[in-house]
Amino acid sequence: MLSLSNVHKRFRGVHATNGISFEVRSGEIVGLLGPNGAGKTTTLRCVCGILRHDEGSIHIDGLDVVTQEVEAKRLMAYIPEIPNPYEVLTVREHIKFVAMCYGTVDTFNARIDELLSRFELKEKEHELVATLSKGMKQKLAIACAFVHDARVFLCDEPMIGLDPQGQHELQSELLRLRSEGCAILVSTHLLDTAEKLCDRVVIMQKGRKLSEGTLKELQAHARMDNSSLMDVFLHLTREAEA
Amino acid sequence: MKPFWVLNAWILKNSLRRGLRNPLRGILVVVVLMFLLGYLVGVPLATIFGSSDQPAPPLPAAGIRGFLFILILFHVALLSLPASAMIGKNAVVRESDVNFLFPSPIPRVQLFRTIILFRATISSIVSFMAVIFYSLLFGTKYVRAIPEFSLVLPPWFSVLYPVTFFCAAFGLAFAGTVTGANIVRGKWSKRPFIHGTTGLAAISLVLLVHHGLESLQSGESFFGGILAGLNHPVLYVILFPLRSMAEIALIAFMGWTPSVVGGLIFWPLFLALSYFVLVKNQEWLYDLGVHIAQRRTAAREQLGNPAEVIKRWVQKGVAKGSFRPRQVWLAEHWTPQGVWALLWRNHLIYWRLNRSTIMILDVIVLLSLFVLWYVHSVLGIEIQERLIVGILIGVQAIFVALTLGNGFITSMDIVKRMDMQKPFPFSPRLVIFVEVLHLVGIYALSTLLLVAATLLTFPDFAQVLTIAYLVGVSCLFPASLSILFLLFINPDMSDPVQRIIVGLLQLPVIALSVMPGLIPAALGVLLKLPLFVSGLSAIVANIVWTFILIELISRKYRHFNPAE
Repeated sequence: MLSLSNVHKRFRGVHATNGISFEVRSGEIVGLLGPNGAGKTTTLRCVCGILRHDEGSIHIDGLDVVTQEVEAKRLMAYIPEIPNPYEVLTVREHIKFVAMCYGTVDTFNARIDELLSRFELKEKEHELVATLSKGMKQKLAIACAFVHDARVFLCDEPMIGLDPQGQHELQSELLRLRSEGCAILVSTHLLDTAEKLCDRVVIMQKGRKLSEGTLKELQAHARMDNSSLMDVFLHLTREAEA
Repeated sequence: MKPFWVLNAWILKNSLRRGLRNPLRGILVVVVLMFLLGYLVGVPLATIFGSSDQPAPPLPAAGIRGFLFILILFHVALLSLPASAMIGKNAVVRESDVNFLFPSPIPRVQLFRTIILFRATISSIVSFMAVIFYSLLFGTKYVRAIPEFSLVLPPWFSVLYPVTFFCAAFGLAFAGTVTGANIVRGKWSKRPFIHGTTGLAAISLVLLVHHGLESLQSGESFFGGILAGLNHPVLYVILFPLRSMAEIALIAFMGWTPSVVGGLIFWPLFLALSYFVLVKNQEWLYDLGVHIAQRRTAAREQLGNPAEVIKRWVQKGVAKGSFRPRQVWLAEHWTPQGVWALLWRNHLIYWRLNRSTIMILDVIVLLSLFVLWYVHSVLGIEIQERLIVGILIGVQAIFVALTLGNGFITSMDIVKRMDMQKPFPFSPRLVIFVEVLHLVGIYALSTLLLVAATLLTFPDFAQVLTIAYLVGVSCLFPASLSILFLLFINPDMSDPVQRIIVGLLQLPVIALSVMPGLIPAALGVLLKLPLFVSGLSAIVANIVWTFILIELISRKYRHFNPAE
């Protein structure tokens, strides 16, 4: 569903992503892990079209994100790390606006009440976004990702700022999407969550892919049977650093 | 205090290096530097060594007193800067100073003295240079006339001016710091200072205008009356600090006047006294520092992030109950899909934030047109064409300024919300076009009412007005796009170099962007072509130029990195 092949992105000669390749298949949640500055956000931004990669290719359901940009974007939903919603729109108007952008107002009409309830935005639907707390803005950004029928979900640190209820709701939602055959790529620093939620993880460091696989495969790679994802992650990144 | 000097040197070095690393921004940095150097070195040289075969410029009618008046006005601006060293976005203490310098073992007075000496001096010098720069740029003729006045003292006496100026600037900065510290600790109230300054300014204005009008009544010039009014005893006392600075600047021509002597005594004493009081109040300096650093951060955030301004403004309005998410009729009844949704969003936001401003402006214009029509048609008094054209040009200028100001905010908003907007399934060309269409649409619709009303009231102007309207609308496309282009290259308003580039180049870039449209119009006028042909060629040129700019800017948009 989502494939990256030898993706390079340089900023003034510095490799933010250096030949990254991996796939996220339908019905799969893949975690993108790495220390700060590893290139996770750059990778996600290249996939969703915010940044243009310098080399390599990215395909969404066979569509090239450079040459078939608009068609590919229709299949994607992106949840940014720091959402910057439009403060002067109300919560309901904001979600409607995103639906209008994707040409899915009918979907919006059918889903809006359920979405508002699910993300605890019902009471705030006619309030201006400016009055929402940081966590509520995050919930709004997540709700906006569900107003069109995306097949690939890109989530950049989606749990940050969410209360436990919100985190639980989002995890349930991602699991539901997986069961419906969506491909989900989640960048996160929360390794416990990644261990529970993700089918596979990709570990990045300094723009390169260090390792990829299920927890068992990573344990085998690190020769650390029965260790937690945290221990494996620390071992692999320290080893690469050394 | 070495770390402080090193810190500031690094900030400037890194900002310049960052500016030069990006090829396009690097070109702009070089352009700005050449522009400044060219004028700061070239214009004075041209002024001094201007071609000798040119006749000497005539002396200004107002003589040296005219210069004195202008210099007094200059000093209002120049000296208010150090005095407000602890206020708003220009405040000299920063959050990083609070977090890193305040906890260091540097003594408070030494720290504050260095901060003020460095940052207030820099801003005073920049302002000082700006005044000289603009004086030379726009008033070369008059500056060249200065040597025509007879010298009373040798020219080297003029060196007293910069010395006194910096005594005044530092004295005011120290006094402003002490005042701020006492206001923050609740010992003094801000109100008497505001009322006192406003009151003195009002008294001065009233007295000056009174003298000007008296002069008019006796058949002499208004400005001559104002100059004579400077010697009124009350005005002399109120304006003494400013007047003394102005007369010291002209000491070579004015000699040892009472103001010069008084100023040379007053300002060094003022500096010594304000420093003494600063030392006495040192225990409150960090309280003041924390307070003004927070205010500065808020002001800076607003400068570089309109979204933040809107957010704070709305939050304040909601808390007070004065801002409600009122419904907008068109947004309720129109549900466009795809890229036009951006227009829907912009329309909704714009009307929620600016509806009253636009309506007030339109009402003022319509009222003035009604008065003109009443005077002309009912009372039968002949209205001069110049008056109507003047009103229209004035109002159009306000609308254009509002539109371009809004263009700046919209452009900053696009830059700040790139993460939100860029994943939408639209081509960059369409996004840029729709964003600019919104800006131009506001102008076109707002002024349409005005144009229609003028056409109905004064049908003789129909052709000129319609063509001018259409040319104006078409010019706004490249003008708005040029702002977007400048901000895509310089998106970070917290970077000093980028801020200077945007501040200095904004107007020249807008002016350049409308040239391709205005050149055919100007040629048409020169060749005495029919107005229709000139106007149409300008509109066509603007349309073509707009598409070229959209293509260029959409490429920048496509490769724009929000982390920049």
